[in-house]
Amino acid sequence: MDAANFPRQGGGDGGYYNYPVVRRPVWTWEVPAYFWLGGMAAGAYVTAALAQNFGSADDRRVAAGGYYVAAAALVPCAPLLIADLGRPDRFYHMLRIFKPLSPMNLGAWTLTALTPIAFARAASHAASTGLLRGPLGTLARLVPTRLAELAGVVLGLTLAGYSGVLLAATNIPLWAKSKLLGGLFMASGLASGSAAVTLQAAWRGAPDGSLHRLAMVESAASAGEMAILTGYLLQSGKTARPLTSGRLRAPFWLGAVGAGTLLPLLVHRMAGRRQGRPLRILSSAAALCTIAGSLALRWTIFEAGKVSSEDQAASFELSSE
Amino acid sequence: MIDGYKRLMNIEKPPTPKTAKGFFTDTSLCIGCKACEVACKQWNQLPADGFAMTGNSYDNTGTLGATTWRHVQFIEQAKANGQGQEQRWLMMSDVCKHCANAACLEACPTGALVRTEYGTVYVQQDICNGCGFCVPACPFGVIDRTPKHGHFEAGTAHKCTLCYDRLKDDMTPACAKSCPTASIQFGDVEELRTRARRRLGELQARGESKARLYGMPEGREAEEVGPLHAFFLLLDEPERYNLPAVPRLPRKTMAQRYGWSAAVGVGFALVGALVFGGRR
Amino acid sequence: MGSNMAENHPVGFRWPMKAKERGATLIHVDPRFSRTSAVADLYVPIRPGSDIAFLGGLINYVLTHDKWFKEYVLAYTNASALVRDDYVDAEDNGGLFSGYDPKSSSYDNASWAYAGPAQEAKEDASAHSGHGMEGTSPAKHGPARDETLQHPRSVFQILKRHYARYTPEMVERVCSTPPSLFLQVAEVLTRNSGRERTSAICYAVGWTQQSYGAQIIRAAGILQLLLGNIGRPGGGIMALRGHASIQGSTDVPTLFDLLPGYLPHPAAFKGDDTLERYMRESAVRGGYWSNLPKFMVSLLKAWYGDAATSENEFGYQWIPKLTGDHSHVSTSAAMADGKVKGFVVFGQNPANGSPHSGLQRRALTQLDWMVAIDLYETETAAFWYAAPEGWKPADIKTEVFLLPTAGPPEKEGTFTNTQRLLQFHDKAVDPPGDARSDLWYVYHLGRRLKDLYRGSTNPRDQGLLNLTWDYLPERPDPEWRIKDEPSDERVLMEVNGYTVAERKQVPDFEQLKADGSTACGVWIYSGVFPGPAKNMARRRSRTPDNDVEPEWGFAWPGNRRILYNRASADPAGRPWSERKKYVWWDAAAGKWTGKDIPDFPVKKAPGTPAKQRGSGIDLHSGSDPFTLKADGRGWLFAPSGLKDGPLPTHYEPLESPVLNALYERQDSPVAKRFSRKDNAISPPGDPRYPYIVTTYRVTEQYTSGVMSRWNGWLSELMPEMFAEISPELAAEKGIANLDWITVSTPRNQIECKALVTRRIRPFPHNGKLIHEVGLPYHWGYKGLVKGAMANDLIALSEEPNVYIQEDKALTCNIRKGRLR
Ligand SMILES: Nc1nc2c(c(=O)[nH]1)N[C@H]1C(S)=C(S)[C@@H](COP(=O)(O)OP(=O)(O)OC[C@H]3O[C@@H](n4cnc5c(=O)[nH]c(N)nc54)[C@H](O)[C@@H]3O)O[C@H]1N2
Ligand SMILES: Nc1nc2c(c(=O)[nH]1)N[C@H]1C(S)=C(S)[C@@H](COP(=O)(O)OP(=O)(O)OC[C@H]3O[C@@H](n4cnc5c(=O)[nH]c(N)nc54)[C@H](O)[C@@H]3O)O[C@H]1N2
Ligand code: SF4
Ligand code: SF4
Ligand code: SF4
Ligand code: SF4
Ligand code: SF4
Ligand SMILES: [Mo]
Repeated sequence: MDAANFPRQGGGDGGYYNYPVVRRPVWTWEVPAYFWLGGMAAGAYVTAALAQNFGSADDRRVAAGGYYVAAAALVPCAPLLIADLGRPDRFYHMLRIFKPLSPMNLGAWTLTALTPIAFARAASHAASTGLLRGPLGTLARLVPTRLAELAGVVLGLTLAGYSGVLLAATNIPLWAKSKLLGGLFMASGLASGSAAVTLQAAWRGAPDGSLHRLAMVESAASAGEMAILTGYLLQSGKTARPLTSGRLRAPFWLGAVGAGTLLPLLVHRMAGRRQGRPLRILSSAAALCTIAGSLALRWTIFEAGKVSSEDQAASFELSSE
Repeated sequence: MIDGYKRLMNIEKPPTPKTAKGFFTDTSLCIGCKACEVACKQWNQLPADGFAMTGNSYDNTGTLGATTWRHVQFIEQAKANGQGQEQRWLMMSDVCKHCANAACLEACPTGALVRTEYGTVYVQQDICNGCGFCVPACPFGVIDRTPKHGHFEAGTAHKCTLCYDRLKDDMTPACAKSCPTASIQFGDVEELRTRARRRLGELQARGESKARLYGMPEGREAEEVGPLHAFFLLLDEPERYNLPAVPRLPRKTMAQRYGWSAAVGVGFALVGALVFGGRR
Repeated sequence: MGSNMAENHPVGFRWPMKAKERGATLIHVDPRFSRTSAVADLYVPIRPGSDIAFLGGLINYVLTHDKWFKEYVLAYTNASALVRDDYVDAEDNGGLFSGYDPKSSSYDNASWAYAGPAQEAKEDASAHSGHGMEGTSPAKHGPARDETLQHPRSVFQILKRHYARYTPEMVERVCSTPPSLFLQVAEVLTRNSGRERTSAICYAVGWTQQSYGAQIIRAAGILQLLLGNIGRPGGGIMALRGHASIQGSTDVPTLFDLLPGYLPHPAAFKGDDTLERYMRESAVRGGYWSNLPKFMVSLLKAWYGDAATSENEFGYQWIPKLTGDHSHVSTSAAMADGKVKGFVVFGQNPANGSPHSGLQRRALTQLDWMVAIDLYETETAAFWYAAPEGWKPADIKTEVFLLPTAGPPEKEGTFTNTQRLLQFHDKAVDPPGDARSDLWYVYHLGRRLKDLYRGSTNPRDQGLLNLTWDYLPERPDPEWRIKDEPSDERVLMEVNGYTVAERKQVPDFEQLKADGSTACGVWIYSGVFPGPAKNMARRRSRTPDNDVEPEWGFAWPGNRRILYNRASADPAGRPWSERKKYVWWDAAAGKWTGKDIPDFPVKKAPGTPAKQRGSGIDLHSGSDPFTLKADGRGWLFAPSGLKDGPLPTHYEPLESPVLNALYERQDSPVAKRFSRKDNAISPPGDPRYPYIVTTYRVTEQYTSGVMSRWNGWLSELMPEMFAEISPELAAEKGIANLDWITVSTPRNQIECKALVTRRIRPFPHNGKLIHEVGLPYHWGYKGLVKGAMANDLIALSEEPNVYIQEDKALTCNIRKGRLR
């Protein structure tokens, strides 16, 4: 019997009933939480290192708090990553081989390498301010700060940059369709990291000049994030629907876009020429928004990816390009 | 020290490659008996996945998964033809494709997923730490991780092993062995390909105009993931069987993605340097 | 036809698939588009219960288009025989044949006999049932014949007249089969039959489970004889059997009306009061059945050993005589009426698998005791606390024993498969715990009963006391934990038969004697164990140069693979064609030879004339291949042996939504309908039950489900009871896929999920649509998955020849929603 022209049956785009083409990711909330914290740690470290190397004495003093932020944000990262594994007792198998082809492997190595460096750099800073004394302090003073900064920046950028690529290196339409998810997570990580530095700076009563400069750095990251997010949404097209119009549309538009980029940009602008306390309050508010928005972005894209995995038509579209 | 590390981490020298083995699944011969599905579960002692009707023809197990490594699809097609009705019931036994460029294998951070000496893709259960990355990486939705707190091999990734244990003993994989109609043919991939081409010719000569091979080196579907070591003869478009027209290999676009990411990072560093350096 | 081979015999179906790949055309005629239909070249829908109209249509086509295989039909069938002049065909009598007695709903078949000398010799062999294997009374000089086939009372002309109205248009009216498809079948079949080609027909319970099942198979027989497809390779009619050794269980048998090897069971109502009378009545003078006394006496010797002497009729009187219908269905009815006290149920699940299972369960409550011997706790074993009727255990008087049995790998033994092939299998492991093989239970029960009755002088106990009962091996196998396991090989040796004096295994049934010097348990199996260590059923040798594979297992009779294979050669003994060469006469060697063992006297030359005197196959000529038949011919017309007519005639099922379009008579005049209050049957066209309900199997589950529903791997594949309905019916009733529906018949109602599918097509009939509801019958109230039992809906009924229930075509109604 000739097969020609049997009407399509089943659901979706005439696939096999409504069954998804790809499997739903098994990851849980630990993953977006880790990506958020990792990105923030990286952003904070990079911001601190930039200030350290290019900024004024004030900038250096104020931004050095970023090392603390980075170290602190890195503390839960490894546990989160481990907790998400199906077999947490075998986390160390990640380091069994070095396989940068696998973003997951690359990320694990990066996190493993960055964590001690960030701690060392923070310790060295603590020692330099006299916060860390005794033998530990002496030891911390031995840390080659320049090298730590250079290595930390490279690793930090890797850490902030790989997570989006990791999600994109799958066949989940919402993650894989656009080429910009890596860049987006990078921008969002850097924005939240610099925001965290701003926040601690404001909190510690940093000079207005430094605060303004931090706000500029943060705003640049936010603006970049906005631009790249626009590109991401355009490239994804219909595929982005689970993010833009589904159950996740409120947290995405209000949280990730509104609170995450638009609002801080606006507030930082408002803070523009202000000084002193109002400046500190507005800067803090903006930074807090950026940080929260960054979490919202990770979480919504992560969750929308799961929804997207069930979108048969999107899978077929992805695979016919 | 390296030796010690290798011992600690279970790193062994891979066995010398042998002739590549695989499956040619000829769906035109399938009678939908599901013997393959059951034989696979029995040989591998996989648990049943639940007892509910799907209402989708005679398919009540739905998809491949962590504890279903062979799965038989049932596609009902009908169209009016004069006063009568012309009708087809396509059956297809799906399985891991053992891709030449396997997305799951490339994704795996631990090296649990390996290519065996038979050219197949295999999860080493003692290595897998359940990171779950292979799951969304596979373009065919094959591999999956068992629930962390389940009863069966909890928390690791599973899929067809191409009966690696049986191959080692020169036995035919359980599914192929149980297939009564030779819909599943096991053998040397090269030879199977020759057979498949001949078979396609026969069917086309009989007027099966929509018959096609899926997973052959010359097919579009091999563009990224390479030829499939488990390939198929289909009687309709791949999408009807939920098979992507051109399955994607994430590696192909990875550099570009890293590029964008790096550009953003470098851009930020420059902006930062400028902002901090250009202070008044 | 009448079989869903791909689903129910998937392993055997590899051969039709192979044949298809080699160019064969696969046709599936079935009410449902099944997995078999899916791979067939041609699917042909047919309304359930209308197979005789369809086959009759084919017969008519073959006759009117002159497509019959003339030389074959003339030489090998009874086409030329003349039938008595008082014979009246159903065509001329509103669907009834001559001899019908409405009072007893039965036929006196005297008028169906051949004309000629036999007409005067009023011997009546037909009273014996024997699954059609015995012949009619022997003609002193054979029947009168008209070789020109022109005589109006010749079988050929009767056949022509009988099927003249079975036209393609009539087939469409009765079967709802589009004429174009019907004609396509007719063309393929006739094109593919004849000298050079053969066609096979496979059937199973889609045919047998109808109130005229045997007649459907007869119709196929007529068709195949006309086309020359019997006794030839690639031809034949394949009965696809059910359970793994169901063939064995008819051979040995477990049937109430047969003794081993298809010997009729002595019956009081037939006057079988002495062995001599029994043998005279049962043995047919012409044909191989004339040897019946040899088989019967050897059987008695096997059973009663030294106690069987010519003085005591070899113990014949120890065999209880039949007093009536003791079939499963009848016995269940009697049980429901409290007439049965005890019940041992071995490997069966009547509370779910048998017709009218609600009545079956109620019948169980009427027992004093029941022993269930099974691998699992079946619905039958659990009826006293788990039945849907919700009985309280305290209210059930039946004492129930459940004994665990060993599964096939836990015991040795033979399976006889669909092609009559015996294959012996070894034991792989000891059964767990207290589980024992069925043989163990039977053997030790027999042993203990013999002990209990020891010394009794009551005549009725003598049979038990005199039974030979020595099946324990000389030394128990040290490998196994169970030391008192009887030996299957010892049983098989007795089945094969031996000489009494030397206790030497006989080589085959030709050596059996009627004088008590040989013993043989099942004559047709003789040859399976011809020497002390020669268990032929163990053989697994391939014979590369002979595709008949004669050295694989053992096929009865005498390792013949195709019965009546002399018909594969022409009357002169030459193969009909080089392509279809199978068994032929080797004139130089003076014997029959070929790929198979000739099913014919090896040295009887083709030209041998039939003897006019004596008995046995000497009364046949060298060109009469059907050695079991009295006249050595294939029967287009059955002068005896069937209770419901000499020619298959279309009737409607006992429950049908339509009236018989061919005859006044609506349904089978002799089918048993068990008219009782709890077995209401709806009248034809009953508007309360407008739809056809048919029951069947799916690959994933097994019969009443006991063997599959405890298995998670199978249960997940078909987890819930469902009804298949067409989108048209679903729309009419507002039912969506997976909705709960309730299906009802006058007997009961059940609830299940709806599976709405185009594979079920309504049958156009008189400008309207007849809808069909398809029900698998695999679910019950025990097991990993549970569900309603289709058999709760089915009526008690019996086909008159083999006592099978009609469960393929009844009527029902459905509604959306659950039972509540
Ligand atoms: N997987 C599996 N295999 C089995 C079994 C099992 O339960 N499961 N059971 C075994 C046993 S015990 C048996 S007896 C065999 C039975 O094997 P089959 O006879 O193949 O079994 P069924 O499915 O009951 O019926 C066969 C077909 O008859 C069709 N039918 C119904 N009414 C009619 C009719 O009036 N005319 C015609 N021509 N067809 C009709 C049904 O639609 C169905 O497709 O299978 C054996 N094999
Ligand atoms: N409505 C409807 N009813 C039907 C049919 C139909 O098509 N439609 N088909 C009919 C047919 S063809 C059949 S064969 C019957 C089948 O009906 P049943 O024979 O009543 O049903 P089964 O489930 O096959 O029961 C077989 C039992 O044998 C047990 N068993 C298996 N192996 C062994 C063993 O070695 N020893 C012992 N002691 N027990 C063992 C199994 O566990 C199971 O309980 O159903 C009939 N009923
Ligand atoms: S089909 Fe999927 S799981 Fe199988 S080898 Fe290819 S990528 Fe891996
Ligand atoms: S889940 Fe296991 S097999 Fe899959 S990628 Fe992770 S470590 Fe590799
Ligand atoms: S090859 Fe083995 S593991 Fe793979 S599907 Fe077949 S039986 Fe299952
Ligand atoms: S065993 Fe063979 S015929 Fe049966 S479902 Fe599997 S592939 Fe198809
Ligand atoms: S279950 Fe056994 S008997 Fe039935 S088809 Fe399968 S192998 Fe053959
Ligand atoms: Mo059966």
